[in-house]
Amino acid sequence: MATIKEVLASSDLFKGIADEGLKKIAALAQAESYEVGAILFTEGSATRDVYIIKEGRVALDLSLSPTPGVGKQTTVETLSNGQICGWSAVGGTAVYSMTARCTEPVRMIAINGERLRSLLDENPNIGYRVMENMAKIISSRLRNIRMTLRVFHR
Amino acid sequence: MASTKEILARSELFKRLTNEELEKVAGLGRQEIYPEEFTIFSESAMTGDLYIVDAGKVAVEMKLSVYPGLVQQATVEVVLEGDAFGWSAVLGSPIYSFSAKSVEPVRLVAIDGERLHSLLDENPDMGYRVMSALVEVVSSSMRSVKRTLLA
Repeated sequence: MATIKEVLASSDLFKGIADEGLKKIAALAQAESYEVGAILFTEGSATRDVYIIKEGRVALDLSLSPTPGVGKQTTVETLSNGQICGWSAVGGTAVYSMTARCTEPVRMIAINGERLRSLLDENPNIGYRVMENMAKIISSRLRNIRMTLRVFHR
Repeated sequence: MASTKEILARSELFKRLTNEELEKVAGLGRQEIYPEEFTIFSESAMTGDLYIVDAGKVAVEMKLSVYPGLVQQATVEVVLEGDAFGWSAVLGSPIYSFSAKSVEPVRLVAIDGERLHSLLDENPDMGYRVMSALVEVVSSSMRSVKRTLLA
C-alpha cells in the first residue's frame, strides 16, 4: 500500500518536490475516508483543509446563482486519484470556491491549509514548486468553469 | 511615462518584489501600445509573453460551442489596470487557452514567459512570491468570471 509520502509525490500539487520536502509535508497530513455522497466542503464555506485524492472520485459543483449554496448546481469537473480539491485553503482565499462531493467511496489525504502555508513560507524552495503547480491546477479549473458557465449564460 | 519597473511595482503579480528583483523582471519586459479592438493573441496560438496592463482594458475571449455546429466568440472577463493576462506563457503551457483583445487603446508590459520562468527558477524565493501572487490573480478571476457569467 502506498505511503502518504508516495501519494503526495504522485499528486498534481506536490510533483517535483524533493524527498526532504515531501517528508515535511507528509508530517502535516492525515488519511481520511468518505462514503458516497459525503460533502468535503461547500462553496462559500470557510477554508480549512486541502485534499489529495488517493482513490475514488470527487465532483466539483458550482452554484448557478450568484449566492453560493442557493439554487441549482452544476458539476464543473470530476476528480480522481492524484488530483486535489480545496486549494483555496492554501491559496490565501477565505472561502472555498466550489462544493466537493464524493461520487464514489473515497480515500484521501487531508492537510491543514494554514499549516501547509506556514511550511511553504518557511521553505520558499518548496513553496515555489507548490505554488507553481497550484497556479497550473487552478488555471485549468478556471477554464473549465468558464466553459461550463458559458453554457448557462443567456 | 512610467518606467517598466514602476508599472511592474504596482501590478498585482509583482508588487511583493524588492527593488532589485523588480529590476531583474523589468529587464525582460518591454512596453507595447495597441489600438482599440486589436487581437493581442488568439486562442490556441503558441505562448510567448505574459502581459501586465498599465492603461486600458483587455477582453478575455473564448470560442464556445453554443450548440453542435455553432461556435461563438464570447467575452468571459475584462482585465483592468494592474492585472495580468497570458499566464499560460509562464506556466509552461504550449498554447494560450483564450484570446486577448483590447477593448480600448491599451498600454502593456510584455514579458517573455520562458525567460521569466528561468529567472524564477534561479531565484525560488522570488519565485514563491510571484507564484503565490499568480494563484491569487487566478482565484480572483475565478470569482469575477462567476459574477460576469451568472449576473
